[in-house]
Amino acid sequence: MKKTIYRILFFLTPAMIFIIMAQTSWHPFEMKPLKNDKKNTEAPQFNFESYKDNSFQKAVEDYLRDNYGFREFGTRLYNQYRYSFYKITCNNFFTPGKGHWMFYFPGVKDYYGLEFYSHFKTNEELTEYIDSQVDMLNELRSILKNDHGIELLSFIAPDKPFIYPQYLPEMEKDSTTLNAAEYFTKRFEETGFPNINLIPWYKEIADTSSRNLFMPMDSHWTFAAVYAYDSLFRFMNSLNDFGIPKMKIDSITETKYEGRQDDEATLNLLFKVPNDTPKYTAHVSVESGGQNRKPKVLFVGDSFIFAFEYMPAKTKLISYYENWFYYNRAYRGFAKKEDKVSNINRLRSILNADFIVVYSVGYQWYDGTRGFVEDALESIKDPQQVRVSLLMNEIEKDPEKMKVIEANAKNENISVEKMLELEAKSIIGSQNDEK
Amino acid sequence: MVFSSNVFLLYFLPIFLVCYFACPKKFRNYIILLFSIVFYGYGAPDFILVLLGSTIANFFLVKMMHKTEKRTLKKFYCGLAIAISLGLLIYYKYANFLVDNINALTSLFGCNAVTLAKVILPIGISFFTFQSITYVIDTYRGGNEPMKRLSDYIVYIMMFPQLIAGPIVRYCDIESEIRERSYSAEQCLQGLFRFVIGLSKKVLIADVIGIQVDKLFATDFAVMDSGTAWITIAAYTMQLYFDFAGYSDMAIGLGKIMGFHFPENFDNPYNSRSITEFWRRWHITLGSFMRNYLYIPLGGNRVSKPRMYFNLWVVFLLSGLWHGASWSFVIWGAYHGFWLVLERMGLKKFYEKIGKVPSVLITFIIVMVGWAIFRIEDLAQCWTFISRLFAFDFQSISKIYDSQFFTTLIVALVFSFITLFPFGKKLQDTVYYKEHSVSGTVVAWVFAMFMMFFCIAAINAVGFSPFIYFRF
Repeated sequence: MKKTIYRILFFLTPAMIFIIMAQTSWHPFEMKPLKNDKKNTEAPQFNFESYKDNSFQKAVEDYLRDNYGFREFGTRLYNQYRYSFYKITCNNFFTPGKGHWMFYFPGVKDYYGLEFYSHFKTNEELTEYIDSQVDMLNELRSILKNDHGIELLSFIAPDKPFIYPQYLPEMEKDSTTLNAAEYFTKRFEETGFPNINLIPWYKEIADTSSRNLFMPMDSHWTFAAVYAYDSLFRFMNSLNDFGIPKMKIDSITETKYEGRQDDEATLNLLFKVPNDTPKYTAHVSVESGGQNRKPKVLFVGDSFIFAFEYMPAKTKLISYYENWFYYNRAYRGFAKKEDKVSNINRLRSILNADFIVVYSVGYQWYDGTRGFVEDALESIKDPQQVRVSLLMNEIEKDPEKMKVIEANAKNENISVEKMLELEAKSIIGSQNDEK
Repeated sequence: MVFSSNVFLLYFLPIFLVCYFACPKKFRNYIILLFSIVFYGYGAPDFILVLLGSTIANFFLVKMMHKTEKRTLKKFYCGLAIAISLGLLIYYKYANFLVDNINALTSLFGCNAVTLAKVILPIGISFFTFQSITYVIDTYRGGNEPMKRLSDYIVYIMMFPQLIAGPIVRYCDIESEIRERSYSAEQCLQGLFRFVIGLSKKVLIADVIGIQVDKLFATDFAVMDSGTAWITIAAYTMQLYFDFAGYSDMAIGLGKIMGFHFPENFDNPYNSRSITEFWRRWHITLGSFMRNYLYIPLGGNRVSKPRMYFNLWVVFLLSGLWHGASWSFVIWGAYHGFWLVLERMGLKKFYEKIGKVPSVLITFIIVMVGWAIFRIEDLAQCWTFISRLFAFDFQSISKIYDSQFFTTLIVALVFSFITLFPFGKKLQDTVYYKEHSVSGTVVAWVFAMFMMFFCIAAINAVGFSPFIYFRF
């Protein structure tokens, strides 16, 4: 009996490994995919050359690393071990703080002054960069305001580490390094560039509110986003009075947080992190009356405007918006038509706006405007390009003309945008000829 | 191929086990032979022919040596077989080192440099060379008969569990098992458990510590405080032990599954009360090789004291050189030789006087300093590091390390010294050698399977890391 059991156990060993092999090749068991899983490997192709120089063997190892059977479970198991025993996350971008709070690591390093978001080595390099960004922003603002009546402004979104430093992991602060958001704020003040820095104000609210302005395991703000947007619109009214009405929180509902919080999901753990913080839902209303014309707004920044996109009240505040997310993806209009920023006619969007808001959470100001200000300046200084873009915007307002252009685009088998551009250029060409 | 790689754990091992046990006993050596060739050929395709060629040549030379009655011819065949093995080792391992040093020397006299294309070191050459030498010399001395079948000899030299990093198995130790060996499911399970213990030592302790060790050794030693320097060297001391002992456990475990009883390679070396004892507990099979095939032929303990000290020192100098073609290894060997000579001259009596714990501590510190020489190739850098160890300026160290590193280091230290105490010895014997009840074995198997999968998960979550001793 004893021998039989031992034999069974021993021969079950390769059988167990064969199950992993089978899962690697045929995936008979369905596994919940890992969040943000980036597999860069393809099944290696054997040839004698790659075998001899060992690149085949390396490719096989890499491929198995990304595709071994039950990898999803294995990864979660190991992540859970590291998180439960050592409070270490598999995701290098996040670091656990005290009491199951989690922070975006570059933000923590920014708070402690440990590095310039990996972009700069010295304070001098940072200030040189920010000075040039501020100079360009001022130049762009002056052209937009004077020539086109468009307001350019900046908005520094609150950083979780600055709002809740009491939950940060312990580190030694280096007070000799400059902080990008603070230096931008200082330079904006010195040059008279319109800017609203929400960090100090949010810190005040956080210190007095019984509700969390951030979820413990999420980098994004909660109901408190409403305060930020309302402040932004007040600030916009002060620059060009469109009479944007006030937003008001009628009530806040607290419900149990069922799913995993945004950042927590990226940790790929087996079990949900204990969390008592409720989910807050703000019910927002907009004061009626007083609005002259609803403005069109172009946002250039990160994900902190997303909460606004989900608010039903937004249509009562503005007539149109675009959000250029990391100056990479463009979400256009209330329908959130998505495109790559590089694929759209950016100058047309710029000239179509009443307000352009460059914004970011604090530490992301190390990236400045991510190339937006450079590109915008270059295009707006080209009179021909400006003329074409303005005319395109003008034509677009005329539904009859657009019908014709759409039909022509269909006949020519080109995009409507391209046809519109050709039409604008043709009109300008004939105007030039007449002169 | 490496034991802690996906290819080995997920493909090679289960396929081998199925083929091995599905095959009739008389063909099992062929299975070992075939899989060993695949094992070596997969990772080092350029050198499989070198290995096979030298092994076959040795086999026939030893056969001829045994056949001939003429003493001079016997000597010639023995010398030739050793020369082939050592020649390959010297060429592949030391050619670049020799040429670099000759060039450095001749440049002083304005001579032109000798050029030699970079010679790549075949993996495991230091181990299989020594193993083949034991076969040649033991047969020459009449300790054993030469093998009848070439395939059996290739199995002895190339058996994949110990081919790459030992233990260095003397032919006489497994001679009978190569021809015939017994199997039991219980022994196979013990082998499996031993393999998993080794894998866990490597993946969950050595590799975890190793990540931080690499970072620490990459920092500027000139500005390192003493606390950090001691943590660095303590961590490396643990990494090296758990890496190499882990590999040996895996090799011994695999051997057990296959019906072989390989000699132990480690016996709690950091519990040693002297460097002499340390070398009886650390890399035991290398120490035994050096004693049997170098120290004793040089005269052993039978010569005059000064000569004995000199021999001892030379043996350790060569032992250092065996670890790598670099002056740092030579100095490391000389360093250990120096302490051994001192112990023979009277230091050992001092250790006995001061008692167990202080002598273990002193020996441990000497060993750690030795590992600094072993690790840091640049001699000036090495000196800077050692001087930081004894600078006694202790600063805040909390910002450097993560909790997993610290916890693992403490666990490693505890397991390294636990057998100093009776309960630790009992625990070790229970885990490694004691027979368990059926229910205990079932629980151990479930745990072993879990640990194996957990190690696979860890390897793939953190990234692959080869064994340190592979480069020797």
